Amino acid sequence: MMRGGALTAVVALALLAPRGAAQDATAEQNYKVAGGRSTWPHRIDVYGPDGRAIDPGDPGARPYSPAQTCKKCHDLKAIQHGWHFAAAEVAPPGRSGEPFVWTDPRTATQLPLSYRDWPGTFRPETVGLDPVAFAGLFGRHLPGGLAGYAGGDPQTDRRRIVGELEIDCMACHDGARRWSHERWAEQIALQNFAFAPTAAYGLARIDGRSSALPDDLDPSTPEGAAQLPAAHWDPRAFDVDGKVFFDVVRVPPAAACYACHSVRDVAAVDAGPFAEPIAADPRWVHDGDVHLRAGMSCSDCHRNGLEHHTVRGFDGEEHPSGRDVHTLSCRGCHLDETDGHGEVLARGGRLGAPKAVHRGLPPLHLQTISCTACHAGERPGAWPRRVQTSLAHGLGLASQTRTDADAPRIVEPVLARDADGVIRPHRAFWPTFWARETTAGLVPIPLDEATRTLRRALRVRKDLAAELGALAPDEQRAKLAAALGALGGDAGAAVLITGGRLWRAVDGGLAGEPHELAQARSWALGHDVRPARDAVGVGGCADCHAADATFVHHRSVALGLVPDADPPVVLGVDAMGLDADLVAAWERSFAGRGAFKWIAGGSLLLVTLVLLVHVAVGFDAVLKALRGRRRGRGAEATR
Amino acid sequence: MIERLLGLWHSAGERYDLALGLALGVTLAVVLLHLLALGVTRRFGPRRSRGNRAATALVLAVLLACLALAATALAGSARAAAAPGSGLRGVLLFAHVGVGAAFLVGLALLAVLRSAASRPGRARDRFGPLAKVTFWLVLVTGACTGATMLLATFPWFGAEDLERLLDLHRRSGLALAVAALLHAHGLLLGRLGPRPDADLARSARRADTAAP
Repeated sequence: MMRGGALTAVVALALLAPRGAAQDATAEQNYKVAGGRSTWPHRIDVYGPDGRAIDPGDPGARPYSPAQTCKKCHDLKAIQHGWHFAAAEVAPPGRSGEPFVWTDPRTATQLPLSYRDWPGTFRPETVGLDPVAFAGLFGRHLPGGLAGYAGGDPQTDRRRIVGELEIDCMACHDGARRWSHERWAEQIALQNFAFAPTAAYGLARIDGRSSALPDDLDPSTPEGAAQLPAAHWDPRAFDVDGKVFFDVVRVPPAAACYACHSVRDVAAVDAGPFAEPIAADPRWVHDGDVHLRAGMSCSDCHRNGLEHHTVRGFDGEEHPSGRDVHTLSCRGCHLDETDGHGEVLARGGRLGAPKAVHRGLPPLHLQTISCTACHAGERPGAWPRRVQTSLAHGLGLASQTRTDADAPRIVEPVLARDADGVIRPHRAFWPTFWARETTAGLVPIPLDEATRTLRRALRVRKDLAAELGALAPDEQRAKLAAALGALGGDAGAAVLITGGRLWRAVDGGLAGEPHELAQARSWALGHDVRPARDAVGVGGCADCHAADATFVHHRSVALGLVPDADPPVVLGVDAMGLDADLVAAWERSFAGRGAFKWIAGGSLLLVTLVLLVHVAVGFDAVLKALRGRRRGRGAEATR
Repeated sequence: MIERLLGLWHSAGERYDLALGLALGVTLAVVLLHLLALGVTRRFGPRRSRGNRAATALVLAVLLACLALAATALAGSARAAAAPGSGLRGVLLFAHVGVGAAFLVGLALLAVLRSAASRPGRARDRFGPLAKVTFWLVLVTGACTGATMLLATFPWFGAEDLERLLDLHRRSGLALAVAALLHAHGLLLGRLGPRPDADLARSARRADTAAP
């Protein structure tokens, strides 16, 4: 058996290596293209990271490499710069999205991370996360492409051992739901990066864990290679020609998107100490997104070409391809683009989108308020809801320990004005992390160091927040002050960012103050979209222009690790950059809007009547003058 | 030049500050030139009677309201030109709407009180021809401006129709501002000439001194 396998491998090497090399050279210049509208059935050879075709009978066969397999026909170099795979390359960073939140219960850390230089986020390498550590934490909800995410040098860092977390096309393009998110995440947790695509598509069972291998292991030696995980191939996955059928779909189904972009309600009202929490409605009560209900898929609007620059779908988006993607936004699809005078410049209506008429809504609103503000997410209440997301809470992966109270505490909708002056609904959370004040500003304390010190100082076992929560508030503050004392040193005084404030140890207690990095990190939300009849404003102007209108008068409260009797509250009016006095004046004026219309209408009627009367009088005068002239002529003729 | 002006008229929404500023500037220049020409040639007509004070106060109030409406519109559109996405909003819009409502009430009262005296071809007229013509212009453009605003407050028109209404509102408002300025000029002319009774006294004195 071994001999046969080795012989096969040698033959394969002899036959495939030169052919593979030749294919590499030509494929990148001249890919095979089917060209039809149907998807070409992908019954293909699979290749390992070294470019050799995989023989399932070869026990030493390396895992299947999507890059080596797919690049035979697809321009991988173009694909690998897509939004989902190359966050670290993106410049400018684009509109802020959901950051990766590094959540660690032992230190209660909830630190926003991003490679995209979004405001208030930290680059992973600045907080001690190397590419492998980053992928280990967040790769579970990424479709691969670690190199694009994390940079670094795979030849020198730990990726020599754990392999590259390649872009796995089947994470999104699997039409048969064969790709297992669960196995993908499992292999990443074990640092079996190179094996994740193989395991996820069910081609082999993987034995071994790279996470247990030492950093100085040399995988190029036979001894080192023997310690690497091994793939035990499922022969049923290969056909008689040794090919594998991949049920590839060109347009990913919504389920593939939801694997990483799901959101679930966990509390209908999250107001901290200001109101009793209200549990979220059960899932069956929710309608979901109206577009999906109508039979559409996420990719119908969030499209991309081979470059995988997926259209984000917001107003004013500039697509790297240079193409106008306006009609793929809500506004572009549901409203015609006009010249500001009602003349249509470009028609929307793609995929049969109904035209949004917005009867009686002054055009000013459409300029300063995004479509999503009235149509997306749950209707704004007096206090926001609490939600969990795939990225932050690992939704989509089965867990017995996930609870509704799990950090980070993300709330929505928080209506706020963005830098472009447009009001949008956001999801938001308030970061919690330990930091040092240095001359360069606040620098987060590396998590390892914080964990060690806090374990000693506070005797933390598993969950700092839960263990502190069992104490009286004064005791909690004293313990946190002691922790800050222990964390401080020559490198700078330690501070705690939490609950919307920066906290210092002062005289054995804690003193809080506002700080920019303590502010809520927020990002605009786009879904679920509600239909017109369920939009804010369908009830008329008073839906927003009234003293009890939650669209304007909602509040959100920053909660954190420190017991705070008076936590910071963000008023909707402030978040939207509105003048509270002016808002109140408008609201009062809207109370008298009926009378205003009657008075203005009556005045106009009076003016119109006066005009009509005088037109009639003038007409009469003209007629009389004409008659008089005729009479005069008649008299002259008689004479 | 004409093309540019026509373009400005068409794009009144985007460059309303230019359109309104230009219209008011040209009108003001014409008015000043007219006053200058009359002053040089001393061809002011005889001073007309003032009428009752309440009516005068009303006219002043309506004209001031027009000025405030034009000023807020100008400021709003200048802001929009300087920073796209801004415009006639916030305090400016609140003031514009508030003054607009007061203007409509004033316009209705003015129409009732002054329309008879402003009819053309009446003997012993209190108003000159310019004041009369522009009075009716103020009424028509004021009604049109008010109606386009009022209609927009009802849930009858969609976003695109509201844009058209707003355009009409801007243009009729622009015409109203010009008409109001010219009406003020017409009324001013009626206050600049020599008083008729003073002329009579002067000619009587001349006759006395001339008598042997």
